[in-house]
Amino acid sequence: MWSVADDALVAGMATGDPDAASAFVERFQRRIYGLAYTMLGDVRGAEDVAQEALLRAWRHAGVYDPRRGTVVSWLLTITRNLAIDTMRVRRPIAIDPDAVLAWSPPAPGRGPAEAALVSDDAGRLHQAIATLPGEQRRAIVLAGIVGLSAREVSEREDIPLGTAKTRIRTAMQRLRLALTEEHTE
Amino acid sequence: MSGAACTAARDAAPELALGILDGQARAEVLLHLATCPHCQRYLDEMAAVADGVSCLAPELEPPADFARRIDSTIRGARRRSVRRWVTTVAVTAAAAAILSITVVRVIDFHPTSAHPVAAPALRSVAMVGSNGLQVGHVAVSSSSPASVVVNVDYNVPDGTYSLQVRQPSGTPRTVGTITITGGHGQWTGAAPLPPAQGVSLDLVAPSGSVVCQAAVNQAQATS
Repeated sequence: MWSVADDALVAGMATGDPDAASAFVERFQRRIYGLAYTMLGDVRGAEDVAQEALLRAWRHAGVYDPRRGTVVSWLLTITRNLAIDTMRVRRPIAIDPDAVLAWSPPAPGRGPAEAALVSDDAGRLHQAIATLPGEQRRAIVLAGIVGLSAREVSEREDIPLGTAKTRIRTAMQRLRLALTEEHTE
Repeated sequence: MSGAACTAARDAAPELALGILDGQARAEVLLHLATCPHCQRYLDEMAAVADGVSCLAPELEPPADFARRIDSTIRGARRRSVRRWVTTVAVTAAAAAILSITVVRVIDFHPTSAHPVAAPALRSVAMVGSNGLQVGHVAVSSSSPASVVVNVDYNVPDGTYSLQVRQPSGTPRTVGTITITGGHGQWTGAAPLPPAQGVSLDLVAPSGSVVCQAAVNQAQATS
């Protein structure tokens, strides 16, 4: 019934259509909950963050601008910010970046845009991250998935701030190169 | 555009794309990006990588009833919203009727005093936070000093922030404070906005980091 594009679903929510909202929740709940759980490491906290993220997306569907990014990235950013706020209030972050990468790439999503992203870039990125030196891999997971700032990465890894910034920057440049090469082949 | 500015922007682009660049550094990069399409394109590519990295977190099945509970919240809120809307329409209609009667009587009483006064033009500007997400908007009047209404309604942590007018050159000037509660906050006041390009109104955390900003300037506001 709801095999529509992600941004069309958000547009439906913005008009107040509760069925569009139900389909939106059904489509993204696993991804949102998965990110929240990865960051927080506990069921209750992840559930609270995932619920608030989906409700915020519903409340602010009208301000979503597809020119600024995909629905998935918009939603993941909301989730990540909420989880970061929760983590900073509660306790030091207890996530192991190597454990995050031990998981397989996400299963194909239900939205067309998400499915395309997963089938193309996510698999390539996962492969490219696996080839990074260990310290860069840890830095990019902590910054890109967990949402730590360069300063927090430096404290966590016990390295100078400049080194943390360099690791993040170099990892991002290598991943960009990997994606660009894939697209131009 | 200078080579040094491009180098600095490209060095900072990965952190900006990941949404972890704070404060003055972010403001400086954003100002440069507004004038440099090459660096903006580089940032777009970095943003695509950052989006992909976020998506690498595993999908997990939430607890049973999770979706149903959210669905109930949404449908319940929608019912309350419809009731509020009906009430608002009724109250507004009644108020409009009372107002129209009052205005007619005032005009009748002072038939020569009803000179129309032009309201200052208003312009709405997006307030943009990390990752380029819109977190609210700013309404700016064409008067001097400008009347400013700041509305924040998304993705800004609760707390008290200072509102600063920032120019490309010169020190930022604090024009007020805004408190965000439950993700929402509003500030209304007057602010001198220099008639120059590149002027922004920034929400600044106590730590000094710029949380979000709106590209306001008097030249645009009067257009």
